[in-house]
Order: sequence, then structure tokens, then C-alpha cells
Amino acid sequence: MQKLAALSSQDSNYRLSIEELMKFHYARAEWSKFFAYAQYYRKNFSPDSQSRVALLEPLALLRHCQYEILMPLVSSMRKKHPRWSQELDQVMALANTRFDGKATSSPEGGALKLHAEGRTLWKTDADIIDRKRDKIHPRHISIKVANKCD
Amino acid sequence: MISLGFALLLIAADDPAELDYGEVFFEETRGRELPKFNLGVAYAAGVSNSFLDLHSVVANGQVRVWRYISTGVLGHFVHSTYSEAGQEVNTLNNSGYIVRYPTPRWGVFSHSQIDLMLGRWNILNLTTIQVDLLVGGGVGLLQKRNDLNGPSHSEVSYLWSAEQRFQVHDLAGFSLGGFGHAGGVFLEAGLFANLF
Repeated sequence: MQKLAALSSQDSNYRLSIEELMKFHYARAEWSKFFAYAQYYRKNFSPDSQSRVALLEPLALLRHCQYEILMPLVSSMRKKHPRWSQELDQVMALANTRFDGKATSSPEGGALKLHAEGRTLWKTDADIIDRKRDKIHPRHISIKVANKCD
Repeated sequence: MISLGFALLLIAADDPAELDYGEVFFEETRGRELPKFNLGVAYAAGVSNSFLDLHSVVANGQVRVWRYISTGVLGHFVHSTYSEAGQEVNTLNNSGYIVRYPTPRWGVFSHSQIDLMLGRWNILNLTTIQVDLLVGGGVGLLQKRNDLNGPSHSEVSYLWSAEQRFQVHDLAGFSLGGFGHAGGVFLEAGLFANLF
């Protein structure tokens, strides 16, 4: 995964590397890294070039019960990706139900754990992930999203 | 029912590319670890003895053993003279009183430090100053004299230290701090270099 994260934005496999890293962090429930990659992917690749991996973002928001963010995201994705209407309908249906396993656990640990791992976080503006893909790589970004599930 | 805020969010986020959420952080990995090797040299003045002026040089070599913990050796070399008060009290020797001023000569200590805090300041975009607070301790050998010109002897002594490092360059900076052992308490000011 380190080699994937080291790929240059000029590399022909750059988009694929971002997609693989999205899946990797989603599978490991590393949400702060996943949301960084997910927002970067949505903002920096045209809708026509995006794969179904983009659907992981609304799924992750669903699992955090972040409905106020999920609704506008799904609404906009319907317009940009009409081919995904069925999947987005399923996401919205799940948003209105309760079931075991919906809420995610958050094994990332607290601030002290991050500190012990040698990871230092500096608060920055949301627009650091900009449309210019070569501005910054998402491996340098963490986006914390609160888990609002009971 | 859709709340007003929710409706505004819908309008504002018509383009999914523009939808921002969450708290965004720039993540730095292993950027604030102690350097692998650090060497510091400082001038230290004794502050715990009113009858002696203690001027000394202290050298501290540290090797990182874990991200925020280092260990190494500290050497301390002291030059002692009578202070004004000491000279006055020393005149009691002429009256039959025996006045002695135990003074440290040199010491060598094992010294381990832990990095507690980090601050970074951007100075007008010209340079960055990184500040670390390190506390440490150890044990070692201290050679002392019973008196300024008396016989010397060695003893085991503790060591404690507190140091504030100001790194003005990737490889170097200056430090202020204090330390103490069985020979007294000292305040120090000096320079350090990160060798690797």
C-alpha cells in the first residue's frame, strides 16, 4: 500500500491507486484516512472516470449515521451518475432502517494513540483538498467524521 | 420535514464535488520524533551555592531509542571560585573557625530524556522555529572536593534535567534549561546539533 500511496499524480495508474487505497482503508475501518481519499477522489476525478468505488463514500456516511451529509451527497450523485440509481436507492432505504451492524466501530483510537504512533495532526481548511490533484496527496490528510449512531 | 439548514445544504451542494464535511487535518507522520543523534554543549552557572561562583561546561550526547525517548551521556566540568559572600565568610578561618565549601569538580552521568511537547512557529514565512520540552534524569559519578583546595573524592549521584530546545534549522538550534545533581543546581544556555 505504501507503493500505491507513493505513485505520482502523473502516473497512468494514479486513479486506480486512489481507488485501491479507498477500498483498503474502508475494509480496515480507518475512517479518517478513508474520508480523505473519498473526498479527494470525488473532487479530483471527473464523474465519467469514476468507478463504483465512489459508492463507498455514501456507504461510509451511512455507517456513521451522518444523514445530513448523506442526503445531499446521494441527491447530487443521482444526477451525476444515473447508472447508480439502484445502488443509491438501496443506500437511502438503509438510511431509514435500523439493523445490527449498521453502525461502524471506530478502531482508530484516540489522540494519545495517534501520538504514540508518531502521527501529528495539524488542523487545516477543508479546501486543502482542491480540484488540483497534484496540490496534495490524500495520504497527508485525515478527515474526522463523527459517528452519530446510537 | 426538511429543516432550513438541511435545505440550504441541498442547494449549496448541488455539485457533489463541492461538498465538504468533517474536520480536516494535515497529517504529519513521524515528523516530530527526536533526532537519531543529538549533541549539545552549554554554559551552566550554579545557582544553589551562595558562597561559590560555579562556572561550568556541560556536554550532552543523546541517541534516540524510541520516537520520543533518548538516552546517552552527560558530562559536566565545573570551575569554582569564591563569591563575595564566600570570601567574607572565609575570613572566619583567621579566627579559628574552620570553613569549608564542598564543590563539584566534574561528573559523568547516564542521561535519558523524554520529549513532552512540541510547538511550531512560522516567523513571517521566513523560517520555522520548533520548540521541544525535554525532561530527563539519570545517575552517574560525581567527583567533589571537600573544599576549594581540598582533597577530592568520588561519589554516586543522581541527575535531573529540564531543557527547552529551540530548533531554528533542520540540524541545529539553541537550548535553555536547568539540571541538578548532588553537587548543586545549574542553569544552562547552549547550542545543539542533530547529527542524523
